[in-house]
Amino acid sequence: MDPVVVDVLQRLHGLSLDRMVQGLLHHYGDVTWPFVLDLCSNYAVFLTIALGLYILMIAGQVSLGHAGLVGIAAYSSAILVVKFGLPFWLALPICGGVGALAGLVYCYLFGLRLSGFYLVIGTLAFGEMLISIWLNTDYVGAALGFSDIPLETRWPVLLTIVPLILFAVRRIEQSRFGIAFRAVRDNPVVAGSMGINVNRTKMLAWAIGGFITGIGGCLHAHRVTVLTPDEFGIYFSLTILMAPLIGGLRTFWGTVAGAAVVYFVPWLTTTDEPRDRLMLYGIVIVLLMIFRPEGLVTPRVARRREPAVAKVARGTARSD
Amino acid sequence: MGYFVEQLTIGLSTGAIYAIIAIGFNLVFGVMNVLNLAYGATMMVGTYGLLLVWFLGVRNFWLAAIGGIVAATLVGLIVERVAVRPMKGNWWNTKVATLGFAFFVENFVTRITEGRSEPFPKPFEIVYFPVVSDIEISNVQILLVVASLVLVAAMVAFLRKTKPGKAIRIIAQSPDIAECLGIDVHRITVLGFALSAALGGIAGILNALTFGSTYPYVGQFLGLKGLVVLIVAGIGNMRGCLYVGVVLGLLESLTVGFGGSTYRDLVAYGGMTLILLIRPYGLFGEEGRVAKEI
Amino acid sequence: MTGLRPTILRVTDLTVRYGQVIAASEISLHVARGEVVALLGPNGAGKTSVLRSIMGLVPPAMGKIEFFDGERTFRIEGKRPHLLAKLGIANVPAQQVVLPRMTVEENLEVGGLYLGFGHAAIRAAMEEMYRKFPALAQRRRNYAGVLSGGERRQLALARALVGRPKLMLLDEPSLGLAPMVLNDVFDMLRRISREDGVDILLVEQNVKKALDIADRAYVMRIGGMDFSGPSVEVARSESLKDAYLGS
Repeated sequence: MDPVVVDVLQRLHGLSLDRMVQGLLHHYGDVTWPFVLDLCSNYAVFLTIALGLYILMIAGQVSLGHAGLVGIAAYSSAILVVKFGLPFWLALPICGGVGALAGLVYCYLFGLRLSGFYLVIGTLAFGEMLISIWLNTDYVGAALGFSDIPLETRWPVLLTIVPLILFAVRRIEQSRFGIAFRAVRDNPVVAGSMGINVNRTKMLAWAIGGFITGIGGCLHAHRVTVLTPDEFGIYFSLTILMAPLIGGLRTFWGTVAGAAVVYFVPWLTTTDEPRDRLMLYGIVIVLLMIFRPEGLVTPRVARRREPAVAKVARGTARSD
Repeated sequence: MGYFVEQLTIGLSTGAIYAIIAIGFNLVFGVMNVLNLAYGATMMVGTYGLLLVWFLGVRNFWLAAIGGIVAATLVGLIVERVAVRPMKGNWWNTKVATLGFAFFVENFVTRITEGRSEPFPKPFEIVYFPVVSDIEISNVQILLVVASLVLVAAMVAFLRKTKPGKAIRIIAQSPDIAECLGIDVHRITVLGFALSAALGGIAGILNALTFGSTYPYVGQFLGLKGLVVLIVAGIGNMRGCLYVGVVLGLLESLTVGFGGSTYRDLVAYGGMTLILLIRPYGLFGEEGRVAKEI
Repeated sequence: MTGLRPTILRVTDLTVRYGQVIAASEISLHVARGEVVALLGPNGAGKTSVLRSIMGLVPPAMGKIEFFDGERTFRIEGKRPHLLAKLGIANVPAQQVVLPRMTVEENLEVGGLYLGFGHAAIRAAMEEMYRKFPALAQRRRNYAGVLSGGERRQLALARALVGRPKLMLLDEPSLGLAPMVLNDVFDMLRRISREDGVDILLVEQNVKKALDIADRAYVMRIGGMDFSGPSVEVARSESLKDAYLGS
């Protein structure tokens, strides 16, 4: 038999479940406090980005090109801090603004014109286009990337910013903006007749979501310290999108939970062979979809927290 | 001039591959409304299936290719059973589940093959035929073009003339009416998936043939291109896939030849964005999708 | 009561649920050979749910449905629609009745293609339909999507007939039809029942038209069965008004 086949068979053998468990336990021996902190910091950055997307989704919008938005903010931050010498604390809100602007662009190009599947594809295409553009722009380092970005995103920063954002998202969700968003998502026609300006609501959703993601992008840039165009592709976009989808769309806690799954499960299933974790991750995703299709944080849990007005609005929207 | 034509011929064969990918995608998505994100992985399995059979001792390319196609079909059936049917039509969950499955398969294959690029066997020696003055076409390129034309024609005939083909078209218009007409929608759906996966396997193998090698993540790249063709052509239209696929291949190839490889993907995604902004239902589709499927 | 007429369809204590919402509860009805039976009631009474449940498009939460095809009786509750179609039950829904992206000719053809009929038999049936429905004969090469409401309704009926059904379930055949077309369609239904020996169960909003052609009628109220009887009596009864106007 061909030596290649022998090799493959050997590798298959190495794939056995107890080998993987052993690898897992072995790996846990390396878990130290700084490592966990590190992991949580990364999670916090990712969560910020995902929450931005979640805001969009409350209003019924989606984006499979969200990584592109992250990239715009990340590169902007890098440019501002490295090339123009702006202090990090100033760059942060500015990047939020950049994100909001980018969101409005996405909205104008796609959000206002397309819906459903086509919206998804449009945002996807745009995100991929952005990568191509960055690959050809020497100012941001083209294919080699933008390096030497100062590492600013440490846990004190995150501990200040992330709770603020969580609080903000929660307030938005429960405010009249949130109601308007949900009305537009459930039934744009009825929402319109209730006096809600559908287009402006969508734009608001994109702007706010873009702002939050923009902040996330800035945090991201100053955490990984090196930016390459390829990292902002569909893979990243999909990962971001999976957070609210897996976690549940009814409340922002869903995104928190979903982001945790997306971020931590691959780590939890790490063994000596890094590929195993992604494999197990894939299986976990499929199983989650089969057994928990509505997401981890389901409506019954969420409804307890919904203000009465929102319930009425939703009820009206549903009666066809 | 010679360079230009050389780019054209490369583009033609790449375009042929894109067309085949799009048809397979179209079958399941355009006609059955399922976005199968694991389609790329199916294509990749086709190539590795061929390699597996090859390394098990079967040194005949065509037999090995059949093995690859069978492997791809099997995976396609598994996807349907595991990641599509339990979703009960929920569009979002289907996307996530098929994606998860793709993660699994891609990493599984990487795991057992070390993830490097695998050189791909050839069915016959590459021979170049001079066509006009100093322009040459290789026999592989001819194979590709012929294959894509044959497959598209076969698919169109299948959908138009055969019972299962018509059943698929009926299901696309109304699964309820289809059931009430006596069509077993479950069975036909499975058939559709199997066919689509087989096509994917063929496309993957042809692609590996063109580049001389394959790697575990090739599915992502191909799948995305197939999607672009589908969108630009308009979901549900088979012949449109052929035309758009070929044009895309040509444009890409010319861009790479004359502009540099970093601009290649810009063509695909820029084109897709443009279409979505101006004519979202595709060049050959029609508003509200009351278009001829074929 | 039925005497010489065997019961073709018997529904016993049918309950249909969509999630938590009960659409119809403990519905019992039957259709005998040679009958046209109407299922009436106000909007939201659950009539369509009953029909869809009989056809298998919605599995019943409870209840028994029996179908007699001339030789044997089958228990059909919860069975998938394509099996029922092969037994000889045809379903004509209220909306989206035709296949828009196929021609009239193709629409007719598929009426019998998946029920086990040979090509010759289907061709013959199609020719018969062209005679019965001249409007369709004229449009045979048009795509069904461009047909008018009345023509679509005719096409749906014709398509169902190509399959030579024993029982036809019709959901709101009058929906969206202009008055003149309405008369044509209902005349056609009466003829189908008499000449082709097809038993019909129809759900209808247009009470007058329905009672014109039906032998018996069942009247539902929200979620349940109210009363039933021969059409003549139902037409005259006070309860009919109450059922629709509420009391």
